[in-house]
Amino acid sequence: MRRAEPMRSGGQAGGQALVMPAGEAQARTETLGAPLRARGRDCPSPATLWQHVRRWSYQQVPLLRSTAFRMAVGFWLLMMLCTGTAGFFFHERLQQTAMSKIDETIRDRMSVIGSIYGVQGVEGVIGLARSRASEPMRSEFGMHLAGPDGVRLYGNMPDAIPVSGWSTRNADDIGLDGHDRYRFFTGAMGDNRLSIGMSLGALDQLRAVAVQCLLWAFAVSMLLSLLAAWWVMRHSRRRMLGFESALERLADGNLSARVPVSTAGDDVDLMAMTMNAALDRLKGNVDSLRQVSTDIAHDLKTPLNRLYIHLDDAASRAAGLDQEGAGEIVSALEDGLAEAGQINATFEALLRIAQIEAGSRRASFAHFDLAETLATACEIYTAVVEEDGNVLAVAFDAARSLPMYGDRELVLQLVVNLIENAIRHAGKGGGTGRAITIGVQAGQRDGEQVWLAVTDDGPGIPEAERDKVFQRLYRLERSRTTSGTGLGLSLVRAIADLHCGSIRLGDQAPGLRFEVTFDRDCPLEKARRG
Amino acid sequence: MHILLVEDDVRTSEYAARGFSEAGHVVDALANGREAMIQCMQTDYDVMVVDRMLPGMDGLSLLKALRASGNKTPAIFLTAVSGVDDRVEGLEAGADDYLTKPFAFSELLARVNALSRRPVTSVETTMLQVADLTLDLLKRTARRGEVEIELQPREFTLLEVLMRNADRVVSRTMLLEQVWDFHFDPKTSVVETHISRLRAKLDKPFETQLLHTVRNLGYSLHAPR
Repeated sequence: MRRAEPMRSGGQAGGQALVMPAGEAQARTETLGAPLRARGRDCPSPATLWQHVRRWSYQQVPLLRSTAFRMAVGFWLLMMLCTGTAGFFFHERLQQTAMSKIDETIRDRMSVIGSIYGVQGVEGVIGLARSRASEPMRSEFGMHLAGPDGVRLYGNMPDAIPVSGWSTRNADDIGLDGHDRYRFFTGAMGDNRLSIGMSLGALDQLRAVAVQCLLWAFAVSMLLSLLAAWWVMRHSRRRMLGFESALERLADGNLSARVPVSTAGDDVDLMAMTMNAALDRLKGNVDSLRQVSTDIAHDLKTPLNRLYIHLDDAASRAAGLDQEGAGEIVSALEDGLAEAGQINATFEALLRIAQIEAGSRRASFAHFDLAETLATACEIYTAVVEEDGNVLAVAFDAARSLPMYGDRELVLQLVVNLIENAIRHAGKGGGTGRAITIGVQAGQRDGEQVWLAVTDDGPGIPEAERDKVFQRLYRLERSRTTSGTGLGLSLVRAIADLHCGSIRLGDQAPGLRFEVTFDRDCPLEKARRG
Repeated sequence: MHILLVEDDVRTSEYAARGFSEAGHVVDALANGREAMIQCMQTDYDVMVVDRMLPGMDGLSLLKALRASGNKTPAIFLTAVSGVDDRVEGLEAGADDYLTKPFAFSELLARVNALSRRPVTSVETTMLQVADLTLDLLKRTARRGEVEIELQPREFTLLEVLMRNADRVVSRTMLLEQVWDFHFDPKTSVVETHISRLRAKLDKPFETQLLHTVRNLGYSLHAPR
């Protein structure tokens, strides 16, 4: 039975900034007002004016960040534009038709009166008007007949219309009460001037009703559209959250996470299914890669073990020889053993990092006290640091507990690796140089984060090399000759990542400061999410 | 001592078997898990050494099956990967100790010896003695003759582990695991430093030296021979 030794393909180490948001530095809120960050990555900065405007408006109105909401609003606006245009043409056409009907009626009357005038003269017209029009002109029909001197001969309205031809007048322009508009035709009838008009009140009322209807339609459709937009947004947000949480779990290294697929079978489902198929394939590949690395682990360990055995055997035989030069052979063989041990250490560290990154240790997470763990490490290493002529300064209160959730053994290793890293780079103080102080600090922030820091006032690391120290197998130029695998800090980062920790590498001037901050609840939440 | 060795790599197996024989033990070497299971039912061994990956039946299943059937033979588990889950799984399956490949034979021998003695120095022991050195586990005091030696808690544990394994070699990794609970290999000289501090208190002021360094193997606490 071969267990899968998880091995995450490398490459991830490159190009990481100094501050590594391991996992989620700040918990992502599930509202639309979320920061423009996902897993420590920022959106690309806007370049063009339009991009700036868009970014700014999304910041002002976070609701706009939802694609669904934007689409809903966009469709509503489009719908309004259509309804508005249709309404405008409907209104104009209604107006035109009604006006031409009115004009036709006026023209009919005019021609009737004209023919009467031709036969009976002004008296005939007055007689006709008297029988037809009510006095004074109230609403619908009015006339004004003036003699050649401009004096009113007859009419149911006080003033004449000064212009000839078609005109539209307000009630007070022609000395009438009310606010209706009137349509007039004024023409010459012999030496007399005749104006005939009709009220546009009914038409205006109709138009008001039409406009009112349109406005109501506008308001109701806006309300309905906004409701629909909100619903669509919520619905799609739910699906997006499903995507997001699946992708987040994937980013955490859980390759068995899948995007939820609904029963609808729509385009989103199609995309989800395609994505899941891609993930299946990816997982298959990674699994086989893991299997390969397990096999390599096993297949390399066996010959490495034999090498050990042969060297060990040869050394013990040589030690038993009563011959000149036996001691040299023994020490040469022991050097060989040490080299084999170094190969094994590098190999072990790589496998361990891979195992930690796979996250299988999360199953054994428990509550423990970081202060106690740190105190243990400090107690053990005080003697080692003093032996080098340096000082280990413990700057935290071991009695004040710093509760956290995780794997105590791994966190202990993280602390030990940081202290050992400091010890190795501090060198020997005492007799030769000045004593280096290695500091261990710890504390908590807002009851939500616990942090620890390991500092030294040694030679430090050149700024340019600082972001590389967490890379696997990376070693500073000056420490290439010293022992060490170049994996100690990679392991630190893997352990920090597993615990949602972030590492900050700071300058102490002189010296370095490694600070690891753990989000207290994050590992717990992750464990719950699986 | 009668030792059962279950290891499928022939060369490793031969070498270990020879080493055990030279150390005066009787060894049965098997390469198959299933055969080992049957062998265990027939013979009563003092210690068994089981590799994790075996043909027939892997080491974990073998140990689980044996423990389930009431077999209590102390077992050392050999794993290819130290770390993280393999050790826990091995110990949970019923192993009493584990050793990571590649290993030096001396380390395996030291652990086998330590295991075989475990039941004798049972938990009830309250006093440990080597030559004129006595350790009172209840009062947490150490004496050489009439002189009391001041020890820090961790130094006391270190001495206790060495005394429980008196006359045997205790390897560096055994000390790391049992004294400091380190299941990883520190790159600095943690063990050496603490041993030398202990030695300064334990041996320096006295005529006879009790704590000896065994080159490349570890440490041994014993009366002068």
